[in-house]
Amino acid sequence: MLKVQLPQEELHRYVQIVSRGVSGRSVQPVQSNIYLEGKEGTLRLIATDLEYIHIEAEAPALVDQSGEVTVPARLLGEVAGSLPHSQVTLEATENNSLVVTCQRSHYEIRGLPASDFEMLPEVDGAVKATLSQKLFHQVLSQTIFAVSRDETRPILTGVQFTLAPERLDVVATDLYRLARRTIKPAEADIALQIDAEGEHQAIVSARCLHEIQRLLDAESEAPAELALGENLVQFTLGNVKMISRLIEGRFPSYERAVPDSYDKVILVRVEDLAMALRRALIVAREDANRVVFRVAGDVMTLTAESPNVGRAEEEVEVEIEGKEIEIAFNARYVLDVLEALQSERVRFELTGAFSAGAVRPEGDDSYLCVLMPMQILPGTA
Amino acid sequence: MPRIHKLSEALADRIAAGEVVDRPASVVKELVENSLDAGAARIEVELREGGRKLIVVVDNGVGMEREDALLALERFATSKISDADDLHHIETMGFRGEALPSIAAVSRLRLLTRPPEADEGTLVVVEGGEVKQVEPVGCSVGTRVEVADLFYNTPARRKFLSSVNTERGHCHEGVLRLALARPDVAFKLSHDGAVLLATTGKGDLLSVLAAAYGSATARQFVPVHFEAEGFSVEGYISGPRLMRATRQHQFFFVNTRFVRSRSLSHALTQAYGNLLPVTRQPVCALHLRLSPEDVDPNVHPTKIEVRLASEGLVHDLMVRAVRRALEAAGLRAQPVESMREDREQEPLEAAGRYSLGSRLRVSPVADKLDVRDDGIGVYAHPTRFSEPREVRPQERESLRLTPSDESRSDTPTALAQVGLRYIVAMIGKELLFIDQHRAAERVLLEKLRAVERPAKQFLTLPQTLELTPSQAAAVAEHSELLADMGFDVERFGPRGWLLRAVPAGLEYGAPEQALVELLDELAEWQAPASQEARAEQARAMVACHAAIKAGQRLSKEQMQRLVEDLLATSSPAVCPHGDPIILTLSDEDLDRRFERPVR
Repeated sequence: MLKVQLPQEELHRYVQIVSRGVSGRSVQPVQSNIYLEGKEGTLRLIATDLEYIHIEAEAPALVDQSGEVTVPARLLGEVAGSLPHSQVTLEATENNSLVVTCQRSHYEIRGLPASDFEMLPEVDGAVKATLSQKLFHQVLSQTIFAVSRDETRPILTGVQFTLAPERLDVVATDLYRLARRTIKPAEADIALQIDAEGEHQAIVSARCLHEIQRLLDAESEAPAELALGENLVQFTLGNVKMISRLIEGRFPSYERAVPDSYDKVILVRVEDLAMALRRALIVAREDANRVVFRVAGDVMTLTAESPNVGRAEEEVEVEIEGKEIEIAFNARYVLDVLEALQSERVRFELTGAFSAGAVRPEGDDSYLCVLMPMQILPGTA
Repeated sequence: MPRIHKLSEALADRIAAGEVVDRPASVVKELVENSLDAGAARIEVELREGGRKLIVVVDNGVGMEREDALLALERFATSKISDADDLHHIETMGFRGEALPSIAAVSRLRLLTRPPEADEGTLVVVEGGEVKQVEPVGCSVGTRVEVADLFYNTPARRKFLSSVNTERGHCHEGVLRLALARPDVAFKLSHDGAVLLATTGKGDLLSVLAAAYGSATARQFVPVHFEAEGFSVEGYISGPRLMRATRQHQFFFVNTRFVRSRSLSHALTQAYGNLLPVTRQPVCALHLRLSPEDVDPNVHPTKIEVRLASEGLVHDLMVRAVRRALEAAGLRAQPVESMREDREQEPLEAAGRYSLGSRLRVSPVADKLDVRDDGIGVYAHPTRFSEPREVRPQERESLRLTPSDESRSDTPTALAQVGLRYIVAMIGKELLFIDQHRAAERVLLEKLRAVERPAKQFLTLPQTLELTPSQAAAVAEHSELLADMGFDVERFGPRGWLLRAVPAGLEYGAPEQALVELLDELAEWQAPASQEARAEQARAMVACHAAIKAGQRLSKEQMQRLVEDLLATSSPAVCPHGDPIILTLSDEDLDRRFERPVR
């Protein structure tokens, strides 16, 4: 019979982390529970929807007796959160209940047999990459926004990871834009270790990645490990682990979407453009977020027009190489990229009004976002 | 002078012909059925101008001797039924034997035929029912019938033929039914030189479905095999992603004859239960085998409706067959209350009865409600898609579709999604129950109207489309309209199509699927003459197909956005088809329902 002790703060923190794995739509009641296992100085907590999210944590604990039990995640979370800041004892009973004791508080939570609880298997013998949490967080925020929400195309609702000995490529596209981040171990200021032979690809569900993003510390140099298995991916962040099924299928060969040439380059301050776009969107959102960008001389003019609302015009100072250009984009898509950039200025590489535009941080080739234009209709330019 | 004349034989034929032959499609059907009866393994149908100009049916069946050929053109001659007993074992298709003379009576017909054992064939030329020429001729084994200028001698009937596209559509559907009925026969249908359908004749029903709907679509079918109590069903039903707006894509065959049956369609709907989004219908091609004694097809000359001896039993067996097939495919259906049927019969009550009880009623009739100055909640003028519904007098007091004055200044809050098809929202003291598909359709329609022409949003990776011949024909025919709606579809290789751009603002749905559904509808669309009416109908079609569907899971943000957008439209209460979108339940309604005295 399980019997462990740990501080209330620790218990509460790990229950909260793991509870994110519980699916609200579980058919089996036991899958709405958290699995608890005490063994060798740790309390292991697991919750999973058996599909894209399996979260597992190992909390240091005093294990008086090893054993396992499952209890409803919400109930345990509420009880753990409201107990006084003191040592908590968790003790399983014969009939699958969990007795929670803290100072003078005693709770008995009804649970279900641990033997019925299903979980995703550990990923082993896998291809691995290790990078800092900070970098991983940045990579995800630069790509996840471009994931498709169209559930009729499951493949595009994920992000493709390509692991090769010399690089890690992360790509997402919803067919309207495409975001790609490349990381090379050789790059000096970046900590990346890759343990792989040949090239390995996997499509990871955006749902899983959103959860990972919540768990990552955007400022921390602590390691995040990514391990690709046959059908599963596993992310390890210290003593928290996340496992997810991969999305089956082949990611489209996206290289043909990346423009191989351009004849105009526009450099503009990220902050200036973002502010102007946010304002223009007030009008543009009435017409599918369409904003017409016209660059002549060193001024970029943004216009949005809607028959029902009115008109917006914004001017932003730019630097241009090449001839003037007029092109329309979904302002929301442009803002999504700008918000993911960390550079002072952004570089647009353009060709014509109907050709893909490439957006990069100035002086940095590791990140690219391809934006597809919208049609400029007569009367709106 | 006697006032009553006996009709001449030719005139009698011409009148009788109308019973069997009313449009090119019925000629095609009768001729192809004759070919099947002649044991053909390959049948080719060629049409010109929707069959109004020319219909050619060529088969490699047994063919006829000269005498038989002449006899075949005589009324009520049939080689298929020789005595009354045979009527009890009707398993052939065109047993009435009246088709060929009826067709010959209203067209210029050429018949070329040769039995395998004969050295030469026979040519018979008939005009308006009169045999003009009979002579030996060299031709291949089988029968070729050419029917030109249908109804040339009955101008009134000719006038009632529809457009080339419509007639072509009917012929196409007719041949598809026969091809699905007989996967063991190779069919080829072409129209003005373009192949619309070609099947292999290898006996595989799925390959016929692939020929008709494209192989990507065909992969979404689920097989059905079922046998019990002298009854068997074989065939394919659609998986949950492949649903259509109408029952037009449900093909039932009883002993290889295509039938329309409300009872069988109902059985299908019932078996899918909650797998079926409201307003969507499954696609199917199902072959039922029953003892011929249990079927009486002699109900109508066109023989589409049949009477089944034990309809209730067949219905129940059908439900079991489909459920079992769905379960085998990992799809477990839960029964849904008979709400779908209720809706068809009694639309006013159904929506309320489902979750709230009978007192909550709605109606989209504008002039019977208070019109408020802010435009919110005011009924739209009834759209031209449906007639306004009657409101019964006793319903009016509890009939409200809109937030009351007190709460109208508040912003709505989306609370939850019910049954993957309704959104529950709160505004002021009132609960709103919103049909998600209808709401999204209304919002999209207004967006499309506001911009006049939606801009194209180009795609990073152009998508290859797999289109059926009729969808491809719709692309060609309506290319300008598609471009105006913001779709950019272009030819890619001999068979493929490439989608390069989708209407901006629709990209959060599934635009590719919306396009394919739109093409299905365009293939049968009777475009109105006026430019404006055409554009408006096109917008309504795009809005309907691109809108969020019932059965789609929505995030809180999506729901909130949809509710806000809906209440900002000019008529949030009714969808473009005239159906209600919102039901309102206030604290006072709740008082009444809990039988608390109303203040």
